[in-house]
Amino acid sequence: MKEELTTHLGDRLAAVTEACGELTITVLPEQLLAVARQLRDQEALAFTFLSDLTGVDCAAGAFEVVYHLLSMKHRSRVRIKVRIDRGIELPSVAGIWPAANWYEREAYDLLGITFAGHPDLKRILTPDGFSGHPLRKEYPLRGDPAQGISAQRGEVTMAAPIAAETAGSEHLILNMGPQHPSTHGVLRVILELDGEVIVNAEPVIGHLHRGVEKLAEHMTYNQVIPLMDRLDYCSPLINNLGYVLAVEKLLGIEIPERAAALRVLLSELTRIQSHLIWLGTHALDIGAMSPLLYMFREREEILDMYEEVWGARMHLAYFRVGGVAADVPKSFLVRARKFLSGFYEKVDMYEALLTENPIWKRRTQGVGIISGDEAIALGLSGPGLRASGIDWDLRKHLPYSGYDRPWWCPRRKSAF
Amino acid sequence: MNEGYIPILFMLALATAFCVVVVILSRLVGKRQDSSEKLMAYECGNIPTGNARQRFPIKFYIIAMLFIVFDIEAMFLYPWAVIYKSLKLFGLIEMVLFVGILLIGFIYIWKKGALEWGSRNI
Amino acid sequence: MSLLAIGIALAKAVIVFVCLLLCVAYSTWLERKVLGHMQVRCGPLRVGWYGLLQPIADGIKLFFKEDIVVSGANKFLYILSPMIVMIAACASIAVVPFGDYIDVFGQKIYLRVADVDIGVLYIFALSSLSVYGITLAGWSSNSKYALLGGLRASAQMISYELATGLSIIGVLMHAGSLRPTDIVAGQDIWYIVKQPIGFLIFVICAFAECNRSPFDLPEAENELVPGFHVEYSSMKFALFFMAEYAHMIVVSALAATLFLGGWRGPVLPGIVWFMLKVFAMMFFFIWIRATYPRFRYDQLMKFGWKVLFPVALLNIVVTGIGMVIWG
Repeated sequence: MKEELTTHLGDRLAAVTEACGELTITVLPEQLLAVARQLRDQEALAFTFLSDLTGVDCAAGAFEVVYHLLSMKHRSRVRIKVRIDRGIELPSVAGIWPAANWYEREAYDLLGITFAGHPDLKRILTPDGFSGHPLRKEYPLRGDPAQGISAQRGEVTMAAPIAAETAGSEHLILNMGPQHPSTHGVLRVILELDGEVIVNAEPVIGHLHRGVEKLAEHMTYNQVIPLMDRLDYCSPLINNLGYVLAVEKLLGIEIPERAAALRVLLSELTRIQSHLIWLGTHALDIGAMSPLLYMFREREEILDMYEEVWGARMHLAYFRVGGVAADVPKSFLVRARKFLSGFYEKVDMYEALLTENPIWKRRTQGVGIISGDEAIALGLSGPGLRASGIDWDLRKHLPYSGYDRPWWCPRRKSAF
Repeated sequence: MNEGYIPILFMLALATAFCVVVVILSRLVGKRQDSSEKLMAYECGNIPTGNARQRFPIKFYIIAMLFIVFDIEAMFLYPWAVIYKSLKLFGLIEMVLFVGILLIGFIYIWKKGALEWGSRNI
Repeated sequence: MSLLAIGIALAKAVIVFVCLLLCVAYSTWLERKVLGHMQVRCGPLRVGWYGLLQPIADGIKLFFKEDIVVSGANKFLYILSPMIVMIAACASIAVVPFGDYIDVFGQKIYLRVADVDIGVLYIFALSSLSVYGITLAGWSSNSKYALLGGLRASAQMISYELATGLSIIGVLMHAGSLRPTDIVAGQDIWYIVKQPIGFLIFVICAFAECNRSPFDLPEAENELVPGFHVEYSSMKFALFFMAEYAHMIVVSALAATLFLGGWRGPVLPGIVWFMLKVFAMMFFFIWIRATYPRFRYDQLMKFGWKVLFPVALLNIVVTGIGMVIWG
């Protein structure tokens, strides 16, 4: 890929470096859009997927914006780094990768980097009426006393475009969330209703944003692990894994084979229980009460196994830099095997309760279709991406951790 | 007045008395600590935007009107149903004609799209 | 009407009303227990033996809750609407026959509060009244969620009322009367056998009329929070809550009377048979709630108007033809 990059973009790149097996290109701000467009459109590169966009405060009055790109076609990743001085605008790449829309808003919100040509550059994570940019190095770790409770409650401002469009119309503007049974306290959607039909919706996020990045800046590598558990409390260990893999890559650590196996095993258990919560709450939101409780029964079993492994039931902090915290007890493996062989029956029951239910089908079929191209452009990942018809599974196509070992092979039901 | 209805009056009076008494009692007994924020209409923790009593889609009125039309027609079937046994074939023909007329109206509103719930249609 | 007759009528009204309230209270317990056991949990356990005192505790708790009249509400309608709903639900039980009669000191006591010749119509009239209560509750609260819930509820309930009204015409044709006792008397064979389609439509509509799952859209908590009664608290909320269960009981009793032979049955006394049938219907209500997801609103309305209404009409025609051919 390095050669491809230099042949196609050679004169436009300030530097191409490779560190820890990761390819990074450095670009001058004025070259950014041209490079980005080429990265996406050039057949030999085909970086169609923007997996992340982050800003870094490099102190000394400069920011670095990092674009993390993925090429599904060539199964490779590349990173663009652009360095700008404070107060200098950077061109927005939202027109090239629509996924950048929210990422750029995040960088604007937390660091104060402005992106020229962004369709709707406004704060995204911090509450209405917030001032300052919390991820800047000079921002106090314990928060700005001026941003007290009163400032955070602020005035509830209606999203301007919706409010303007509907002044005097028959449409009803309705706030759904955050204090709403099906947005679970973490999402607010401003809905524009025409009777029973939603004609416009604007999501407002950030209700559960805790500034983990800022906290992590002041900690040692190991201290950060418990924070990672809390990023998504439905799948704590998987977030752990992402973090420790990054640190291990930086330090060049090889982990023991058994630790890799345990990581895979526990990650996959975590994935099951996380999906159980998703499916259960989805069913509840659609009005089916029982599946949630059946799924919680199975989830409980997994949490019990967690407890056996490392004492805690949710925030395990079990994966460590260099391996795992301790070996698992023998009883855990017996239990896990028993659970997994019995789980297929449970899945059949969920199928009977939901996927074979005519009402559920009518509620879900043909609703909110995202085409494959849209999914890639918007940076959807995981099951969402696969549901759009894209055959892409990181564990299979760009294996990491233990997923690249020969003993990792997903089996279908018939194999058991 | 028909004597058979007197017990119904008793029942209505009892139910009314019960409702009034519990509402008043709970008003007296329950603790009250009002604040302007507590008394605000619920809108998921946000300050309500605009007034809830605005115009709402005509669709609901249409359903109400259709209901009145068809429910009255259905009501006509009640006395007919009660004496159907003595009407025999005559009653059947009468009713088929009546239901036929009803159905024509029903097909009309169906075709007009009055039963659709998409956006921006009547 | 003699003084004694009035006394008996009053006594019957009081007893039936109190029993209904008790049934309402314990049907909440039943619902929580049955749902609990269907969902691998226990339901109420702590208050009294098997949680049997739970409804009482809930009632007392609701009594002492803060009574809120939301700002901007139309106070009169806001207070009136839960009462309308509750009165309509309770008063309609008056014409339902629970059994034949019992002898008390040589007096024949008929087991019904009132025996009127338009009993079935009376029940329908009252259940239409509760639509007013719900709509007004939604509108008077001055809250958008309540308004949406109220609108949904009114449109849904009147749409399904139409099909309910049509679904029982087959029964009326067989019975030749609107008097519930005559209808029960006519059921040497239960009308569910002669009118299976009618029964099916009636039960489906009953779910929608009572705002029960899978038609619980007016109070779909995952969309509208609790819908039309979102702004209600304390006893005013309790009235809505009780009315919903009272409505379920009335509809179950009506189904038992019209389709399941009322109090008639072998060996056991009539009132026991009647209670068993009502209980079976209530259990069915709860069972469905544990099983099905909720419809979307347009699907619900389409189902009511485009499926149930024509099928109910067709059912009348088929019944008419059948009765002419087979007498």
